Amino acid sequence: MADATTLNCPACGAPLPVEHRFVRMVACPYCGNSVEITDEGLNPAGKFAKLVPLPTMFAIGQSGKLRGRAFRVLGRIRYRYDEGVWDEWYLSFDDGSAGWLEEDEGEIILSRVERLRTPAPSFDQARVGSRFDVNGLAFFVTERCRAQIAGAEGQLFFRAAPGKPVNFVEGNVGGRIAFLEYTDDGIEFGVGDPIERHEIELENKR
Amino acid sequence: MRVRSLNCPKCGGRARLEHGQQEAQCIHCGQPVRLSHAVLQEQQSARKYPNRTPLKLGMKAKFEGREYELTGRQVMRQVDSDGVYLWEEFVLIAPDGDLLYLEFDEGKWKSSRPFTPDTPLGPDQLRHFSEGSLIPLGKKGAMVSAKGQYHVAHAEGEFPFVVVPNREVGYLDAAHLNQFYSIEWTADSVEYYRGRFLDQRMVYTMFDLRDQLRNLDSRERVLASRRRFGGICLAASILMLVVWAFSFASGHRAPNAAGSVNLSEVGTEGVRFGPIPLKAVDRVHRLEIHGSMRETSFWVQAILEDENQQELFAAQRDMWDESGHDSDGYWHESDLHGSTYFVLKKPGNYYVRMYAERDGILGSTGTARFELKQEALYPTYLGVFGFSALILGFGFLLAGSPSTVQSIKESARSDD
Repeated sequence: MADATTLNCPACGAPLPVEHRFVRMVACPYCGNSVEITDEGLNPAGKFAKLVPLPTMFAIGQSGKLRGRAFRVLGRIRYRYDEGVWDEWYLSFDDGSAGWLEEDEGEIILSRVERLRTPAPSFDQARVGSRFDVNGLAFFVTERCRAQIAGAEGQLFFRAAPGKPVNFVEGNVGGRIAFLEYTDDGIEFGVGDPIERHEIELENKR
Repeated sequence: MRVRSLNCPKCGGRARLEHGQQEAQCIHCGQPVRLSHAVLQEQQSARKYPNRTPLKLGMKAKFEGREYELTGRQVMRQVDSDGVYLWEEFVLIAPDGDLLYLEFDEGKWKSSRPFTPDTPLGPDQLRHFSEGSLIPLGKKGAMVSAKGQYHVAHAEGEFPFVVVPNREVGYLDAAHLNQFYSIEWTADSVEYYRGRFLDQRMVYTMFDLRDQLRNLDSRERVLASRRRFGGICLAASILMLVVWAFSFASGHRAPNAAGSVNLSEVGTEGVRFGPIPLKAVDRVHRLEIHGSMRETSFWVQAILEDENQQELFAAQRDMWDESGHDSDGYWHESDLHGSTYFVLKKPGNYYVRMYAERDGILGSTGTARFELKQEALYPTYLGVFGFSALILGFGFLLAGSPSTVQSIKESARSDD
């Protein structure tokens, strides 16, 4: 891994693997403390409760191929909202790019962040069934929810403090899926595609 | 008797509760053990919404090469002007996180999974669709089969989401051939599902329900034997009806057994023909009369007599011939034939006496002739058996067709 660096957990001193330049946060696999990676160094960011296992085909450290592209699972984040939980898995691809897989109701969606070039609707504006122009795409709102970060493990691409509220607006852009993620840090935009299970090949299956 | 075991909170031993019982004592330490309020409520709800399928929580199923476990069951309830409508939904989860819904609705099964449509439709657009309209879902569109609002009336087991009771969810079902679509919406989300219709055998095979499959097999064997019997009846009826049609022309003329009269010249004594020697004892004979006339009507009778002029049988007919013009043009109708059947009991010489009487006062004349045929077929029994076998055949074919049996069962269910 080109970007692989080893840092040490400020709480227990164990080595913390950082395997992608986008990684902003690592949960220590030994003591469970999460550590924020900043320009100044490492900041302890609290301790996540251990994630209750849900049926899934992924695991931290798992590698495989997705539509022919080799990937490695770096981290996982779990969101909680009124009607349950869902998981997102952070992947690094061997071409240096990154993405995440959302697993919800058995559906798997591979997404990547896109820079917002047009103003996005506010969370309250986004009514289910309404249509907005986001980055030139016709964004059809299919879901809005108020969630919070329930837990995380491994390496993450953003600062995920336990309990941090995140509002989501999910939409359909011509058969693809798009997200608007509202946090105190701003609005993030992502576009994804549904992935069929047979398009994922896992190495050394658990 | 259903028995439920609970763990004793004091010693960890087993306390057994019989069905309906709410409290028992631990068999090890005597500690009273009570069912919790939640369990009681779940039991009441489960009694109110009994499972109409042989599927049970915890069952394993194989579908499209993947193994699943049935973890949850929900009963959906729709109340509208037509009444209350219930259906069941089962949640199946695979160890790799894949999810499958199985719906059981009015005896029909369907599987479904979430999907992302190319043309998303929301509550605003869906307002314009109703039952029977075409909706842009899938490559070829689909026909809307149902639309309404439901809420979850009962849920048991585990779900990968939080079941919100009593929340009204809008839904629209549509289908194209075997492909099935469903859209569900609330204020906060619109979700798209697609799947296909499954028959009972596929579902039972999925869960490896051998007893149910055996029952299905034997039911299908019964249906097949009904169809087979119906087919045999139909074939027999066709044969009999062909023979029946042929029977009117069957037999051959007995020696000297024909004669003709001029209708206006038949006196009150009639005209006697014979002797006709008949020998075919116990065989069916047919005495036929045929008229030939234009624009007139006669009553014609032929009587079979023995040598002592004793009347035995008669064939008679009110014969007529009419024609004219109406808006459709020229028409010509007539009724000029009659016959009677008898079985010969005694060989000997017989005679036929012909009578005729003009029906009106005026009109032209004509002729009538008789013929006596032996070795004839008696058509009445053939006809009765032929038509009975026809009805029986169709009846058994219908009773042996699975779709008819299904619709009869459904109408019986909707009656009660």
